[in-house]
Amino acid sequence: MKKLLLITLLLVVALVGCGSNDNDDSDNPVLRVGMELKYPPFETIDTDGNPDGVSVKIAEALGDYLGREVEIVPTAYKSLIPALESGKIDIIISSMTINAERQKVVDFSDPYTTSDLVMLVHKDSIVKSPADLNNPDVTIASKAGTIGALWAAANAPLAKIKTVEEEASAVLEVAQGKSDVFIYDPLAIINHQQNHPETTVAILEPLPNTSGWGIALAKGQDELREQINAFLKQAAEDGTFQEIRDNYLQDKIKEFEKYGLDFFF
Amino acid sequence: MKKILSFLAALVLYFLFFYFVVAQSNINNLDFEPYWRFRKVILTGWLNTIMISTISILLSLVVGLILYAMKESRLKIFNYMAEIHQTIIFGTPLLVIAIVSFYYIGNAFGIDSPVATGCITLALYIGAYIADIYKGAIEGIHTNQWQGAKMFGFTTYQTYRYIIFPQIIKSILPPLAGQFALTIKGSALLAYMATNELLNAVSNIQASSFRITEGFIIIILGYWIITIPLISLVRRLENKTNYRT
Repeated sequence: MKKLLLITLLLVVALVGCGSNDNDDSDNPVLRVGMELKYPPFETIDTDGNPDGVSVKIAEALGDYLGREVEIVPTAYKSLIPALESGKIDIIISSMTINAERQKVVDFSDPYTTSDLVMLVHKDSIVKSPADLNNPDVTIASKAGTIGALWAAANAPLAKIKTVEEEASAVLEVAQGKSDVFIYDPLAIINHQQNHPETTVAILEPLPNTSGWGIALAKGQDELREQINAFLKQAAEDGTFQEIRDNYLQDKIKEFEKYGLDFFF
Repeated sequence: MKKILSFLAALVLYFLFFYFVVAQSNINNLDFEPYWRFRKVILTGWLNTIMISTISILLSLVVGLILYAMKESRLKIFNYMAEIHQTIIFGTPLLVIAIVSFYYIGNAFGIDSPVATGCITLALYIGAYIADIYKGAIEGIHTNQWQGAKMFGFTTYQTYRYIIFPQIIKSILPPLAGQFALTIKGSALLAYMATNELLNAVSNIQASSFRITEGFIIIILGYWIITIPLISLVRRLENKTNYRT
């Protein structure tokens, strides 16, 4: 019995010892930026596997502005907000749409873009325009954690929502007619439609009630949020955004113009 | 000769099956160009998968041994701890364990590296199964042999080393090979933590190139290059250690 007590005690002490390293990173000078590197040209990788894209450049410019070193932390989209809550990252710059549901758990900066959502639709689907979505016979596929499911829950409460882990799966859902609609950003939808020309249609009429993308940060970091807002304002005025736009978004802007879509940023 | 023919016939049947599947889906022209451009990324991911799997497999053999020793221990607390560990592992999907251990348990202990958390998680998971493989094999040995060894004055270590181990190696190899393959496949779960392993590397490229089918082909081949030689190696070892026949 004595032995038992001793062992238990030892294990408890070991556990407490390990657990006591504090998670307080408030004076950590490195700014850890979470993003999912699966959304070119905003968040992607170069051929050497390093993070690249518009959001990476914004993060670096923000780091310069704050005088902090920047570390990009690749994170699955669904895990971005949990990572922010658990303190693994300091901010999220991952083309994240500002949304009331998300604002319950994180704070957002001012929007730095406006962005549209459009639909990839199966060719035989009853959905012909955004107005057809709120119908119990409609199945909406969306990628886990992205705005599609949140938009549908708020704007098409009657429709069935199917959440899948990967963008690729969502596209196959629609291409094979298992779902009616996949809600995502215009350029990705256009590309997917071109890969499945016989089974899908792209409806490029923007969905109503969408708002811009913001930089997300943990609740209550008001000082950092003010700094980020000041940075966004300055970057829009001093040409930082213009430069990023010229370097990364020329092709995308041209394609948007070709399809008669508004471009943001 | 007949053996080879049967093998080829089986292969052809599978090939026909896949051909049918491909013909049914409207995959018309495969274009691997984007993947060739990102070959460095894919190679790094693939090597990381091998590294993560190797570390996890080695660790899991040790974890299995520790759990087995705990189960056999005279101290009841160790018996119960091993029991609880196995109950949790057997009763929870690996995906859930992986996510919880990275975002919550790893976080509590200040481990930030997804590779480290991933390897430890896989080792603890697979180790729970390996402990039972050890146990089953050792229990399969008749008690007479233990008594015999004792009679000849063997120590516990000597009994395990010279009597038990040579006999169980043959019976644990096939189930161990299964667990090894499971570990390699399980390492794909680290993609959920955006670790740069094979699955994540390729799905990054899938996202930027929109060439999805090609990506899945590369992923499957990438895993086969690792798992098929492993499985055939174990088969051969099995034949070699099969002294009796």
